[in-house]
Amino acid sequence: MEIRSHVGGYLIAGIFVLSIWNAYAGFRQNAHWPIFKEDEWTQLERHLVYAKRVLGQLPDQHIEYRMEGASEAYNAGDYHRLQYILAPLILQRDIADNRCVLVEFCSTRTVSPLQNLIFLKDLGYGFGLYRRP
Amino acid sequence: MLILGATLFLMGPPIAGWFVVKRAWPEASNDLRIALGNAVGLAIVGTAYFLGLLLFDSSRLALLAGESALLCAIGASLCGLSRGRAEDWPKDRKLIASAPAKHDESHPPISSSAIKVGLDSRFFSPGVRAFALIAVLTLAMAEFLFALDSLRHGGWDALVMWNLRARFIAESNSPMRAIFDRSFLGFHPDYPLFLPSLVSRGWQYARSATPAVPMALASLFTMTTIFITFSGLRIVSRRPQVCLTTVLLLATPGLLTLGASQYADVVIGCFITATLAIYTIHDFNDKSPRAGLPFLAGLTAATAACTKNEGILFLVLLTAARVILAFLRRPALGSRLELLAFTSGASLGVITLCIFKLAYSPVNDTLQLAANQTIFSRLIDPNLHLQALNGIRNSLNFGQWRLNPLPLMAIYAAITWTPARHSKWIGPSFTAAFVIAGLFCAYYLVYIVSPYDLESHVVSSLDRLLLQLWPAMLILYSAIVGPRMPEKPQRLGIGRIVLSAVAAALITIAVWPEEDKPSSVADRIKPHIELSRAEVTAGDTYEMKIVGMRGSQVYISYSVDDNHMGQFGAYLGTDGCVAFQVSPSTPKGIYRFLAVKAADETLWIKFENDASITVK
Repeated sequence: MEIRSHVGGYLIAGIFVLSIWNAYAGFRQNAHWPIFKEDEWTQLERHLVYAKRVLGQLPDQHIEYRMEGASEAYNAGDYHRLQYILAPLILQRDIADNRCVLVEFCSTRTVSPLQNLIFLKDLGYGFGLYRRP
Repeated sequence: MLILGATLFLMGPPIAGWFVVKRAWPEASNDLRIALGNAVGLAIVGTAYFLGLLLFDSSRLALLAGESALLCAIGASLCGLSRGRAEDWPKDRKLIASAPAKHDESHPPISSSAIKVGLDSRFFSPGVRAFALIAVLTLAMAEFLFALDSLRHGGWDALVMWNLRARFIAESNSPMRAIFDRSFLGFHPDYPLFLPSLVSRGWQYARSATPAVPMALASLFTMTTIFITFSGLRIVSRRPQVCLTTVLLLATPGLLTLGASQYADVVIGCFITATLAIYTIHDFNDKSPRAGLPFLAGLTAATAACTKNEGILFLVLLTAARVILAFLRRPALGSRLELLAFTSGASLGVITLCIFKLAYSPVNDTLQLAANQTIFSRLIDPNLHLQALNGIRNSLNFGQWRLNPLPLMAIYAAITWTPARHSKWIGPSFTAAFVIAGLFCAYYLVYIVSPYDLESHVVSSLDRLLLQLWPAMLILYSAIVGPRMPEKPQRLGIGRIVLSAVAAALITIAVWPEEDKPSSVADRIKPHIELSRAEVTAGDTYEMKIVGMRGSQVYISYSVDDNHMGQFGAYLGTDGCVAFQVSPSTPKGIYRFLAVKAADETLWIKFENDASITVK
């Protein structure tokens, strides 16, 4: 019984020390400064306020989405972030006739004419609204 | 206005829940009433909002339904309280945290020597306990705050599922049509909408889609889970054990990060913990039947089912456990009363879930893709079982601990456990043990029969499934190892042998190195990709083999019809292979795989060869 008591005590002490170490390790892993500063996502949302207002007035909330000038390592998360910001608008990759097209000029951030698309409006921050003939 | 709205949305459910818990369980301690009240209030408002959304397809009417449910809950509770119908909690066994359990004089506690095994030893004085608890609590709160800031817009699942659906609910004219648009078929449209309903409700109060709302909800659910665990253990476990368990829970970085990521896993974990805590407390005192606790348990269990599909499995196993107990333990009247109370508590959630599954939700993609003839062949395939066990072994550090506490916990349990004395042979931990064991078995079977690549399926989900159950597992652990009951002496029993064996296995697993994928290619050679098929359609499976990459977790960039689509993650097996199943929602076209990078690196490396596959 005494042996069990001692061993149990050491085990308890070990679990406590281990837990404090794990808590500290988790804290170190996540710690950063400053906190709650404006991030890229918030800046993008600000840039897209006008675009969202214009796109929200479209009769069909489905819109084709295209990229111009994206690299082969384009982050899919950026697409889903854009979808989230522009919701309830629904972005679609597939091509459909007589539908509006939202084109993002990823590298130049400057809207320019495109072949086979009719330019409608510059939405700012490298986003342009086009239509398929 | 923003702050006022955000405050209203946060305070309403806990206040309503407090009244409901007080009505159902008047003798509950204040901390438990607050902890359970948070969960119960959120369950009521979220489920009612969800139901309103299904019936009216309008966020405004859904908001009205949710707030009406809260007001009804408060009103009904106040009516019940004013009539003075207190629960028949036996006064001689009133369980408050500070009151010690009565001892049976015919079996005097060995306590003066036996109980001093570890917990009450000189190493474990109240001062040491308090220091450890405060230190870990401080570090955990700081860690959670930093994680919350890093993930202020949520993790991947929050971005493509939970918060996105909340946006459609809050801002779309027809939320249900938008949520089930074919563009989103690849993102588990069969998942219930409890969490998006709560987020949308918050945005409606705040009148903007501010990230503060999902962050606040994530914080509330994480803290409520921890608080329920702590408060519940104060009734069924000894005070030193309560402290130890709370420290273990707070020092689980994986849980805090998961909570901050705004996933539904902590939400369902909160309701699972609340339900199992309620039933453990309920069975701890089996002297008299009570309807209040089973009613609360039914409410939280059904809400778990409305949160994620795992919750449905949990609800079924819980019901089975209570039915078994009803046959084995209680008198018939008490059992019927308990099951009736449980059913009435669960009715709102179950009805909501049934409407969602029958009227809106498509079939789960795993069920849809698994054909009958392949299920049996997968069940008898020994390689799959080996892969599954390997994956489980690799997931034992699900808490993202720097030093895994599981082996020490197992050794401590093996050394110190003595069976507690109960009036019946089934203890108060039966429900929790039955449900947790049942869930483990069910998850194992799902991994075996799932048509997806097993290794990547396990890696991408098992950690989160275990974290959902972690607080409940700790409650079970504490109720077994350090119960608040007199103990009888036992020199050596089968239980101690089993625990010792488990401890030995855990130590072996912890020190055994993980399998390392042999790297036979020099660093500077470009990776090579091979595909098993050139054309596929929905339902087909193809294999991708990548040679020349170190590590198993990789990201692959690709294009469809020469449009860059971004990247997807893959978990390469020991042979560099990963299998993919083509779902009906996969866009058709010519897929080209362009470059690859290891998960922990930033450098993309082009494949040395071209590889493409056509989805028809």
